[in-house]
Amino acid sequence: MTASSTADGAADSDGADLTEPLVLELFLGGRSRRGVETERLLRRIIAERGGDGSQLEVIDVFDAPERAEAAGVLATPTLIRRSPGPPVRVIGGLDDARLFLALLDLPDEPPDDEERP
Amino acid sequence: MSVVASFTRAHYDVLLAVRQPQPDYGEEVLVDSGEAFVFHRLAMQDLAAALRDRHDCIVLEGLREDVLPALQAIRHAGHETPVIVLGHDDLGWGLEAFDQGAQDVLEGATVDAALLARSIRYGVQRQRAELSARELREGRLQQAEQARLERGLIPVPLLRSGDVRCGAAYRAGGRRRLLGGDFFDVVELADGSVRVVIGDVCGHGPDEAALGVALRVAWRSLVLAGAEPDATLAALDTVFAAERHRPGFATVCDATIAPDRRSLEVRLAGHPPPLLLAGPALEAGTAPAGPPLGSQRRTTPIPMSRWILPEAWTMLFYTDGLFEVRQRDGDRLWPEGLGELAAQLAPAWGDLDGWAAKVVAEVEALADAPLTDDIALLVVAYRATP
Repeated sequence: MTASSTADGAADSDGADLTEPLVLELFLGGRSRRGVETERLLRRIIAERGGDGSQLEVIDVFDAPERAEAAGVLATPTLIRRSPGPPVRVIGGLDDARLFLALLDLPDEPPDDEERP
Repeated sequence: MSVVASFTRAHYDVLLAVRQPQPDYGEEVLVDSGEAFVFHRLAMQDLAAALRDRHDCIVLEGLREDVLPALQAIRHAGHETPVIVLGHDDLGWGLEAFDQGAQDVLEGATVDAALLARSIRYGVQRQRAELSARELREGRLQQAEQARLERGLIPVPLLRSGDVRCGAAYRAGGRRRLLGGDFFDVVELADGSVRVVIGDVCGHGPDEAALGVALRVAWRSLVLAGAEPDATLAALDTVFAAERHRPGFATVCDATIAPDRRSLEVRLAGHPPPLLLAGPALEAGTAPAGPPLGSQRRTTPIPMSRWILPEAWTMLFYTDGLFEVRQRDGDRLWPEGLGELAAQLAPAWGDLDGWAAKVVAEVEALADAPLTDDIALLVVAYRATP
Protein backbone atom coordinates (compact mmCIF):
# COMPACT_ATOMS: atom_id res chain seq x y z
CA MET A 1 0.00 0.00 0.00
CA THR A 2 1.35 3.44 -0.81
CA ALA A 3 -0.01 6.94 -0.47
CA SER A 4 0.55 8.11 -3.99
CA SER A 5 -1.52 7.42 -7.02
CA THR A 6 -0.14 7.13 -10.52
CA ALA A 7 0.11 10.23 -12.68
CA ASP A 8 -3.43 9.95 -13.98
CA GLY A 9 -4.71 9.08 -10.53
CA ALA A 10 -6.27 5.87 -11.76
CA ALA A 11 -4.47 3.24 -9.76
CA ASP A 12 -2.10 2.94 -6.82
CA SER A 13 0.79 0.55 -6.42
CA ASP A 14 -1.20 -2.20 -4.69
CA GLY A 15 -3.30 -2.58 -7.77
CA ALA A 16 -6.39 -0.80 -6.51
CA ASP A 17 -8.22 0.98 -9.30
CA LEU A 18 -9.18 4.21 -7.61
CA THR A 19 -11.78 4.95 -10.26
CA GLU A 20 -13.75 1.98 -8.98
CA PRO A 21 -16.41 2.68 -6.34
CA LEU A 22 -15.20 2.84 -2.76
CA VAL A 23 -16.69 0.39 -0.31
CA LEU A 24 -15.85 1.40 3.24
CA GLU A 25 -16.86 0.12 6.66
CA LEU A 26 -16.24 2.27 9.69
CA PHE A 27 -16.47 0.50 13.07
CA LEU A 28 -16.92 2.86 16.00
CA GLY A 29 -17.28 2.29 19.71
CA GLY A 30 -20.14 4.62 20.51
CA ARG A 31 -20.59 8.08 19.11
CA SER A 32 -17.45 10.04 19.83
CA ARG A 33 -16.65 13.47 18.40
CA ARG A 34 -13.75 12.00 16.43
CA GLY A 35 -15.97 9.27 15.06
CA VAL A 36 -18.55 11.79 13.92
CA GLU A 37 -15.87 13.95 12.28
CA THR A 38 -14.40 10.96 10.48
CA GLU A 39 -17.78 9.82 9.27
CA ARG A 40 -18.47 13.30 7.86
CA LEU A 41 -15.08 13.40 6.17
CA LEU A 42 -15.61 10.04 4.51
CA ARG A 43 -19.14 10.92 3.41
CA ARG A 44 -17.81 14.08 1.86
CA ILE A 45 -15.15 12.11 -0.06
CA ILE A 46 -17.83 9.75 -1.33
CA ALA A 47 -20.10 12.64 -2.28
CA GLU A 48 -17.28 14.23 -4.26
CA ARG A 49 -17.01 11.06 -6.34
CA GLY A 50 -20.34 11.99 -7.88
CA GLY A 51 -22.55 9.00 -7.20
CA ASP A 52 -20.27 6.33 -8.63
CA GLY A 53 -21.70 3.72 -6.31
CA SER A 54 -19.22 4.36 -3.50
CA GLN A 55 -20.61 3.65 -0.09
CA LEU A 56 -19.79 3.97 3.58
CA GLU A 57 -21.32 1.83 6.30
CA VAL A 58 -20.90 2.92 9.89
CA ILE A 59 -21.23 0.19 12.52
CA ASP A 60 -21.33 0.77 16.26
CA VAL A 61 -19.71 -2.28 17.84
CA PHE A 62 -21.84 -1.88 20.98
CA ASP A 63 -25.00 -2.12 18.87
CA ALA A 64 -23.75 -4.87 16.57
CA PRO A 65 -20.97 -6.86 18.29
CA GLU A 66 -21.59 -9.77 15.95
CA ARG A 67 -20.60 -7.56 12.99
CA ALA A 68 -17.37 -6.59 14.73
CA GLU A 69 -16.58 -10.22 15.49
CA ALA A 70 -17.38 -11.34 11.98
CA ALA A 71 -15.13 -8.63 10.57
CA GLY A 72 -12.32 -9.47 13.02
CA VAL A 73 -12.26 -5.96 14.43
CA LEU A 74 -9.56 -5.61 17.07
CA ALA A 75 -10.31 -2.15 18.39
CA THR A 76 -12.25 0.96 17.56
CA PRO A 77 -12.22 2.99 15.47
CA THR A 78 -11.39 0.71 12.55
CA LEU A 79 -11.92 1.64 8.94
CA ILE A 80 -11.92 -1.16 6.39
CA ARG A 81 -11.60 -0.43 2.71
CA ARG A 82 -13.26 -3.41 1.08
CA SER A 83 -12.70 -2.15 -2.40
CA PRO A 84 -11.17 -1.19 -4.68
CA GLY A 85 -8.14 -3.46 -4.51
CA PRO A 86 -7.10 -5.75 -1.70
CA PRO A 87 -8.68 -5.01 1.67
CA VAL A 88 -6.93 -2.50 3.89
CA ARG A 89 -7.80 -1.73 7.48
CA VAL A 90 -6.62 1.18 9.56
CA ILE A 91 -7.16 1.17 13.30
CA GLY A 92 -7.17 4.46 15.17
CA GLY A 93 -5.43 7.26 13.36
CA LEU A 94 -8.35 9.63 13.35
CA ASP A 95 -6.20 12.35 14.87
CA ASP A 96 -4.21 12.62 11.66
CA ALA A 97 -6.59 12.85 8.73
CA ARG A 98 -3.77 13.08 6.19
CA LEU A 99 -2.14 9.86 7.38
CA PHE A 100 -5.50 8.19 7.79
CA LEU A 101 -6.44 8.91 4.19
CA ALA A 102 -3.00 8.09 2.84
CA LEU A 103 -3.06 4.67 4.46
CA LEU A 104 -6.34 3.99 2.69
CA ASP A 105 -5.16 5.43 -0.63
CA LEU A 106 -7.91 7.96 -0.43
CA PRO A 107 -7.44 11.51 -1.76
CA ASP A 108 -4.86 13.06 0.50
CA GLU A 109 -6.13 16.62 0.46
CA PRO A 110 -8.48 17.17 3.36
CA PRO A 111 -11.46 19.45 2.78
CA ASP A 112 -11.00 23.19 3.05
CA ASP A 113 -10.97 24.50 6.59
CA GLU A 114 -14.26 26.34 6.25
CA GLU A 115 -15.92 23.20 5.02
CA ARG A 116 -14.68 21.00 7.83
CA PRO A 117 -17.39 19.72 10.12
CA MET B 1 4.76 -0.07 4.29
CA SER B 2 6.24 3.07 2.84
CA VAL B 3 3.32 5.21 3.95
CA VAL B 4 3.72 4.07 7.52
CA ALA B 5 7.45 4.68 7.38
CA SER B 6 7.08 8.16 5.93
CA PHE B 7 4.32 9.32 8.24
CA THR B 8 5.23 7.78 11.57
CA ARG B 9 8.12 8.01 14.01
CA ALA B 10 8.26 4.40 15.16
CA HIS B 11 7.12 1.13 13.65
CA TYR B 12 6.21 -1.92 15.72
CA ASP B 13 5.80 -5.37 14.16
CA VAL B 14 2.99 -7.13 15.96
CA LEU B 15 2.13 -10.80 15.56
CA LEU B 16 -1.64 -11.16 15.88
CA ALA B 17 -2.94 -14.66 16.56
CA VAL B 18 -6.73 -14.93 16.37
CA ARG B 19 -9.29 -17.63 16.99
CA GLN B 20 -10.97 -17.55 13.60
CA PRO B 21 -9.02 -15.80 10.88
CA GLN B 22 -10.81 -14.88 7.72
CA PRO B 23 -9.02 -15.17 4.42
CA ASP B 24 -7.50 -12.02 2.99
CA TYR B 25 -7.58 -9.44 5.68
CA GLY B 26 -5.15 -7.39 3.67
CA GLU B 27 -2.88 -4.95 5.38
CA GLU B 28 -3.73 -3.91 8.90
CA VAL B 29 -2.14 -1.07 10.76
CA LEU B 30 -2.88 0.74 13.99
CA VAL B 31 -1.78 4.37 14.11
CA ASP B 32 -1.51 6.28 17.36
CA SER B 33 0.43 9.36 18.45
CA GLY B 34 2.64 9.29 15.39
CA GLU B 35 3.59 5.63 15.83
CA ALA B 36 2.47 2.70 13.67
CA PHE B 37 1.73 -0.86 14.77
CA VAL B 38 1.71 -3.19 11.79
CA PHE B 39 -0.20 -6.40 12.44
CA HIS B 40 0.67 -9.78 10.95
CA ARG B 41 -2.51 -11.81 11.39
CA LEU B 42 -2.58 -15.58 11.56
CA ALA B 43 -4.61 -18.43 13.04
CA MET B 44 -3.89 -19.39 16.64
CA GLN B 45 -2.92 -22.92 15.58
CA ASP B 46 -0.16 -21.48 13.36
CA LEU B 47 1.38 -19.49 16.18
CA ALA B 48 4.15 -21.96 17.09
CA ALA B 49 5.71 -21.79 13.63
CA ALA B 50 5.50 -18.00 13.55
CA LEU B 51 7.42 -17.70 16.84
CA ARG B 52 10.61 -18.43 14.92
CA ASP B 53 10.47 -14.91 13.49
CA ARG B 54 11.17 -11.88 15.61
CA HIS B 55 8.33 -9.54 16.47
CA ASP B 56 8.09 -6.62 18.86
CA CYS B 57 4.89 -7.87 20.44
CA ILE B 58 2.38 -10.70 20.25
CA VAL B 59 -1.36 -10.07 20.52
CA LEU B 60 -3.58 -13.06 21.26
CA GLU B 61 -7.24 -12.60 20.51
CA GLY B 62 -9.84 -15.16 21.46
CA LEU B 63 -11.51 -17.09 24.26
CA ARG B 64 -9.91 -18.55 27.35
CA GLU B 65 -9.60 -21.95 25.70
CA ASP B 66 -7.63 -20.41 22.84
CA VAL B 67 -5.49 -17.93 24.71
CA LEU B 68 -4.23 -19.83 27.75
CA PRO B 69 -2.71 -22.74 25.76
CA ALA B 70 -1.10 -20.22 23.40
CA LEU B 71 0.42 -18.37 26.36
CA GLN B 72 1.78 -21.66 27.70
CA ALA B 73 3.27 -22.48 24.30
CA ILE B 74 4.97 -19.09 24.13
CA ARG B 75 6.37 -19.51 27.63
CA HIS B 76 7.57 -23.05 26.99
CA ALA B 77 9.29 -21.89 23.82
CA GLY B 78 11.29 -19.52 26.01
CA HIS B 79 10.00 -16.53 24.07
CA GLU B 80 10.52 -13.17 25.74
CA THR B 81 8.35 -11.13 23.39
CA PRO B 82 5.67 -9.24 25.35
CA VAL B 83 2.17 -10.68 24.95
CA ILE B 84 -1.09 -8.68 25.07
CA VAL B 85 -4.37 -10.56 25.35
CA LEU B 86 -7.61 -9.40 23.76
CA GLY B 87 -10.25 -11.53 25.43
CA HIS B 88 -13.61 -12.18 23.86
CA ASP B 89 -15.58 -13.30 26.85
CA ASP B 90 -16.13 -12.03 30.38
CA LEU B 91 -12.39 -12.03 31.14
CA GLY B 92 -12.88 -13.77 34.46
CA TRP B 93 -9.75 -15.67 33.43
CA GLY B 94 -7.66 -12.51 33.11
CA LEU B 95 -5.57 -13.32 36.19
CA GLU B 96 -4.77 -16.74 34.76
CA ALA B 97 -3.51 -15.02 31.63
CA PHE B 98 -1.26 -12.77 33.71
CA ASP B 99 0.01 -15.84 35.56
CA GLN B 100 0.88 -17.40 32.21
CA GLY B 101 2.97 -14.41 31.23
CA ALA B 102 0.58 -11.95 29.58
CA GLN B 103 1.69 -8.33 29.95
CA ASP B 104 -1.84 -6.98 29.69
CA VAL B 105 -5.41 -8.25 29.24
CA LEU B 106 -7.97 -6.13 27.37
CA GLU B 107 -11.48 -6.67 26.16
CA GLY B 108 -11.30 -7.30 22.42
CA ALA B 109 -13.32 -5.56 19.70
CA THR B 110 -14.68 -2.89 22.00
CA VAL B 111 -11.26 -1.77 23.19
CA ASP B 112 -10.23 1.72 22.23
CA ALA B 113 -7.44 1.85 19.64
CA ALA B 114 -5.40 4.29 21.72
CA LEU B 115 -5.63 1.95 24.71
CA LEU B 116 -4.45 -1.01 22.62
CA ALA B 117 -1.58 1.07 21.24
CA ARG B 118 -0.59 2.16 24.74
CA SER B 119 -0.73 -1.39 26.02
CA ILE B 120 1.55 -2.65 23.23
CA ARG B 121 3.91 0.27 23.64
CA TYR B 122 4.19 -0.18 27.40
CA GLY B 123 4.56 -3.94 27.00
CA VAL B 124 7.48 -3.51 24.64
CA GLN B 125 9.13 -0.87 26.82
CA ARG B 126 8.62 -2.91 29.98
CA GLN B 127 10.16 -5.95 28.32
CA ARG B 128 13.15 -3.91 27.15
CA ALA B 129 13.62 -2.51 30.64
CA GLU B 130 13.47 -6.00 32.14
CA LEU B 131 16.03 -7.28 29.64
CA SER B 132 18.34 -4.37 30.41
CA ALA B 133 17.95 -4.94 34.14
CA ARG B 134 18.66 -8.63 33.70
CA GLU B 135 21.75 -7.95 31.60
CA LEU B 136 22.94 -5.53 34.25
CA ARG B 137 22.32 -8.11 36.97
CA GLU B 138 24.13 -10.81 34.99
CA GLY B 139 27.00 -8.42 34.33
CA ARG B 140 27.34 -7.72 38.04
CA LEU B 141 27.26 -11.43 38.85
CA GLN B 142 29.93 -12.04 36.22
CA GLN B 143 32.04 -9.24 37.66
CA ALA B 144 31.73 -10.72 41.15
CA GLU B 145 32.65 -14.14 39.80
CA GLN B 146 35.64 -12.66 37.99
CA ALA B 147 36.72 -10.86 41.14
CA ARG B 148 36.60 -14.13 43.09
CA LEU B 149 38.66 -15.92 40.46
CA GLU B 150 41.07 -13.00 40.21
CA ARG B 151 41.66 -13.16 43.95
CA GLY B 152 42.48 -16.86 43.49
CA LEU B 153 44.90 -16.12 40.68
CA ILE B 154 46.66 -13.29 42.47
CA PRO B 155 47.66 -14.33 45.99
CA VAL B 156 49.30 -12.54 48.87
CA PRO B 157 53.00 -13.52 48.67
CA LEU B 158 54.39 -15.48 51.61
CA LEU B 159 57.58 -13.57 52.30
CA ARG B 160 59.18 -13.40 55.74
CA SER B 161 62.50 -11.64 55.14
CA GLY B 162 62.61 -7.96 54.35
CA ASP B 163 65.37 -8.28 51.78
CA VAL B 164 63.13 -9.70 49.07
CA ARG B 165 60.08 -7.83 47.99
CA CYS B 166 57.61 -8.33 45.23
CA GLY B 167 54.98 -6.44 43.32
CA ALA B 168 52.59 -7.42 40.60
CA ALA B 169 50.21 -6.16 37.95
CA TYR B 170 47.42 -8.11 36.33
CA ARG B 171 44.99 -7.15 33.57
CA ALA B 172 42.13 -9.27 32.36
CA GLY B 173 42.05 -9.34 28.56
CA GLY B 174 39.88 -7.71 25.96
CA ARG B 175 37.24 -5.03 26.09
CA ARG B 176 35.07 -7.29 28.22
CA ARG B 177 38.00 -7.79 30.61
CA LEU B 178 37.72 -11.54 30.36
CA LEU B 179 39.82 -13.45 32.84
CA GLY B 180 42.37 -15.84 31.50
CA GLY B 181 44.46 -18.46 33.21
CA ASP B 182 47.54 -16.38 34.09
CA PHE B 183 48.67 -17.06 37.65
CA PHE B 184 51.67 -16.50 39.89
CA ASP B 185 52.81 -17.01 43.47
CA VAL B 186 55.76 -16.39 45.76
CA VAL B 187 56.64 -18.44 48.86
CA GLU B 188 59.65 -18.06 51.14
CA LEU B 189 60.59 -21.32 52.84
CA ALA B 190 62.00 -21.91 56.29
CA ASP B 191 65.56 -22.29 54.92
CA GLY B 192 65.35 -18.76 53.47
CA SER B 193 64.99 -19.82 49.85
CA VAL B 194 62.26 -18.11 47.87
CA ARG B 195 60.18 -20.09 45.43
CA VAL B 196 58.50 -18.24 42.58
CA VAL B 197 56.05 -19.44 39.96
CA ILE B 198 54.27 -17.82 37.06
CA GLY B 199 52.08 -19.70 34.62
CA ASP B 200 49.62 -19.30 31.79
CA VAL B 201 46.77 -21.67 30.98
CA CYS B 202 46.00 -21.36 27.27
CA GLY B 203 42.63 -19.82 26.45
CA HIS B 204 40.36 -17.31 28.16
CA GLY B 205 37.30 -17.53 30.31
CA PRO B 206 36.17 -18.81 33.68
CA ASP B 207 37.22 -22.44 32.98
CA GLU B 208 40.79 -21.37 32.22
CA ALA B 209 40.82 -18.99 35.19
CA ALA B 210 39.59 -21.75 37.50
CA LEU B 211 42.29 -24.05 36.16
CA GLY B 212 44.87 -21.32 36.81
CA VAL B 213 43.64 -21.03 40.40
CA ALA B 214 43.83 -24.82 40.80
CA LEU B 215 47.42 -24.88 39.53
CA ARG B 216 48.50 -22.00 41.75
CA VAL B 217 46.98 -23.52 44.87
CA ALA B 218 48.47 -26.91 44.02
CA TRP B 219 51.88 -25.29 43.50
CA ARG B 220 51.70 -23.45 46.83
CA SER B 221 50.58 -26.60 48.67
CA LEU B 222 53.37 -28.66 47.15
CA VAL B 223 55.98 -26.03 47.93
CA LEU B 224 54.82 -25.60 51.53
CA ALA B 225 54.82 -29.38 51.90
CA GLY B 226 58.49 -29.37 50.94
CA ALA B 227 58.25 -30.75 47.39
CA GLU B 228 61.37 -30.14 45.32
CA PRO B 229 60.97 -28.17 42.06
CA ASP B 230 61.13 -31.24 39.80
CA ALA B 231 58.53 -33.06 41.88
CA THR B 232 56.42 -29.92 42.01
CA LEU B 233 56.35 -29.57 38.23
CA ALA B 234 55.62 -33.25 37.73
CA ALA B 235 52.72 -33.02 40.17
CA LEU B 236 51.43 -29.87 38.48
CA ASP B 237 51.42 -31.74 35.18
CA THR B 238 49.28 -34.45 36.77
CA VAL B 239 46.93 -31.88 38.30
CA PHE B 240 46.59 -30.10 34.97
CA ALA B 241 45.77 -33.32 33.11
CA ALA B 242 43.18 -34.25 35.73
CA GLU B 243 41.50 -30.85 36.05
CA ARG B 244 41.32 -29.59 32.48
CA HIS B 245 37.97 -29.86 30.74
CA ARG B 246 39.25 -29.83 27.19
CA PRO B 247 42.55 -30.36 25.40
CA GLY B 248 45.07 -27.63 26.00
CA PHE B 249 48.30 -26.79 27.71
CA ALA B 250 49.74 -24.52 30.35
CA THR B 251 53.16 -22.93 30.48
CA VAL B 252 55.00 -22.53 33.78
CA CYS B 253 58.17 -20.89 34.99
CA ASP B 254 59.33 -22.24 38.36
CA ALA B 255 62.22 -20.41 40.01
CA THR B 256 64.10 -20.88 43.27
CA ILE B 257 66.12 -18.04 44.73
CA ALA B 258 68.90 -19.27 47.01
CA PRO B 259 68.88 -18.18 50.66
CA ASP B 260 71.93 -15.96 50.02
CA ARG B 261 70.06 -14.33 47.08
CA ARG B 262 73.08 -14.73 44.80
CA SER B 263 71.82 -17.57 42.63
CA LEU B 264 68.66 -18.67 40.93
CA GLU B 265 67.47 -22.02 39.62
CA VAL B 266 65.05 -21.74 36.73
CA ARG B 267 62.85 -24.43 35.26
CA LEU B 268 60.77 -23.56 32.23
CA ALA B 269 57.83 -25.66 31.07
CA GLY B 270 57.18 -23.90 27.77
CA HIS B 271 57.39 -20.50 29.47
CA PRO B 272 59.78 -17.62 28.69
CA PRO B 273 62.62 -17.03 31.19
CA PRO B 274 62.53 -14.17 33.69
CA LEU B 275 64.20 -10.87 32.87
CA LEU B 276 66.99 -9.82 35.19
CA LEU B 277 67.79 -6.20 35.96
CA ALA B 278 71.01 -5.40 37.82
CA GLY B 279 70.42 -1.84 38.89
CA PRO B 280 69.20 -0.12 35.73
CA ALA B 281 70.90 -2.58 33.38
CA LEU B 282 69.21 -5.50 31.69
CA GLU B 283 71.22 -8.68 32.04
CA ALA B 284 70.57 -11.34 29.49
CA GLY B 285 69.63 -14.64 31.03
CA THR B 286 68.86 -17.74 29.03
CA ALA B 287 67.48 -21.09 29.96
CA PRO B 288 66.44 -24.12 27.92
CA ALA B 289 62.72 -24.73 28.05
CA GLY B 290 60.99 -28.08 28.41
CA PRO B 291 57.51 -28.78 27.04
CA PRO B 292 54.49 -27.16 28.68
CA LEU B 293 52.14 -28.92 31.07
CA GLY B 294 49.68 -31.11 29.22
CA SER B 295 52.14 -31.87 26.43
CA GLN B 296 52.32 -35.36 24.98
CA ARG B 297 56.09 -34.87 24.67
CA ARG B 298 56.45 -34.72 28.42
CA THR B 299 59.99 -35.23 29.66
CA THR B 300 60.99 -35.50 33.25
CA PRO B 301 62.59 -33.61 34.71
CA ILE B 302 62.28 -30.19 33.09
CA PRO B 303 65.78 -28.82 32.32
CA MET B 304 67.19 -26.63 35.09
CA SER B 305 69.41 -23.55 34.60
CA ARG B 306 71.38 -21.86 37.35
CA TRP B 307 71.93 -18.12 37.16
CA ILE B 308 74.41 -16.17 39.22
CA LEU B 309 72.77 -13.03 40.53
CA PRO B 310 74.34 -9.61 41.16
CA GLU B 311 74.49 -7.92 44.56
CA ALA B 312 71.15 -6.23 44.03
CA TRP B 313 68.65 -7.27 41.44
CA THR B 314 65.14 -7.05 40.13
CA MET B 315 63.51 -9.89 38.23
CA LEU B 316 60.47 -9.75 36.01
CA PHE B 317 58.31 -12.81 35.58
CA TYR B 318 55.64 -12.32 32.92
CA THR B 319 53.16 -13.97 30.61
CA ASP B 320 52.99 -13.81 26.83
CA GLY B 321 50.21 -11.22 26.75
CA LEU B 322 52.81 -8.70 27.82
CA PHE B 323 55.43 -9.28 25.13
CA GLU B 324 53.28 -10.44 22.20
CA VAL B 325 51.84 -6.95 22.01
CA ARG B 326 52.04 -5.62 18.48
CA GLN B 327 53.47 -2.13 18.45
CA ARG B 328 52.42 0.66 16.13
CA ASP B 329 55.33 -0.10 13.77
CA GLY B 330 53.93 -3.63 13.37
CA ASP B 331 56.65 -5.44 15.32
CA ARG B 332 55.94 -7.39 18.45
CA LEU B 333 57.55 -6.25 21.69
CA TRP B 334 59.12 -9.63 22.56
CA PRO B 335 60.82 -10.23 25.95
CA GLU B 336 63.90 -8.23 24.96
CA GLY B 337 61.79 -5.17 24.26
CA LEU B 338 59.92 -5.64 27.50
CA GLY B 339 63.22 -5.84 29.38
CA GLU B 340 64.57 -2.70 27.75
CA LEU B 341 61.36 -0.84 28.51
CA ALA B 342 61.48 -1.97 32.16
CA ALA B 343 65.14 -1.00 32.49
CA GLN B 344 64.36 2.52 31.24
CA LEU B 345 61.72 2.90 33.93
CA ALA B 346 64.22 2.18 36.76
CA PRO B 347 62.70 -0.18 39.34
CA ALA B 348 61.21 1.49 42.40
CA TRP B 349 62.20 -0.57 45.45
CA GLY B 350 59.71 1.24 47.64
CA ASP B 351 56.70 0.59 45.42
CA LEU B 352 57.07 -2.48 43.27
CA ASP B 353 53.30 -2.80 42.72
CA GLY B 354 53.21 0.73 41.37
CA TRP B 355 56.28 0.10 39.24
CA ALA B 356 54.77 -3.09 37.79
CA ALA B 357 51.60 -1.17 36.95
CA LYS B 358 53.73 1.48 35.28
CA VAL B 359 55.47 -1.12 33.13
CA VAL B 360 52.13 -2.56 32.05
CA ALA B 361 50.77 0.90 31.30
CA GLU B 362 53.82 1.64 29.13
CA VAL B 363 53.30 -1.59 27.22
CA GLU B 364 49.64 -0.75 26.70
CA ALA B 365 50.65 2.67 25.42
CA LEU B 366 52.97 1.06 22.87
CA ALA B 367 50.28 -1.28 21.55
CA ASP B 368 48.56 -0.45 18.28
CA ALA B 369 45.23 -1.76 19.59
CA PRO B 370 43.63 -2.61 22.96
CA LEU B 371 45.23 -5.70 24.48
CA THR B 372 43.10 -8.79 23.91
CA ASP B 373 45.10 -11.23 26.03
CA ASP B 374 45.26 -11.15 29.80
CA ILE B 375 48.62 -10.11 31.13
CA ALA B 376 50.47 -10.80 34.36
CA LEU B 377 53.69 -9.25 35.56
CA LEU B 378 55.38 -10.32 38.77
CA VAL B 379 58.35 -8.33 39.97
CA VAL B 380 60.70 -9.82 42.58
CA ALA B 381 63.56 -7.67 43.85
CA TYR B 382 66.43 -8.00 46.32
CA ARG B 383 68.33 -5.41 48.26
CA ALA B 384 70.76 -6.37 51.05
CA THR B 385 69.33 -5.22 54.36
CA PRO B 386 71.64 -2.78 56.24
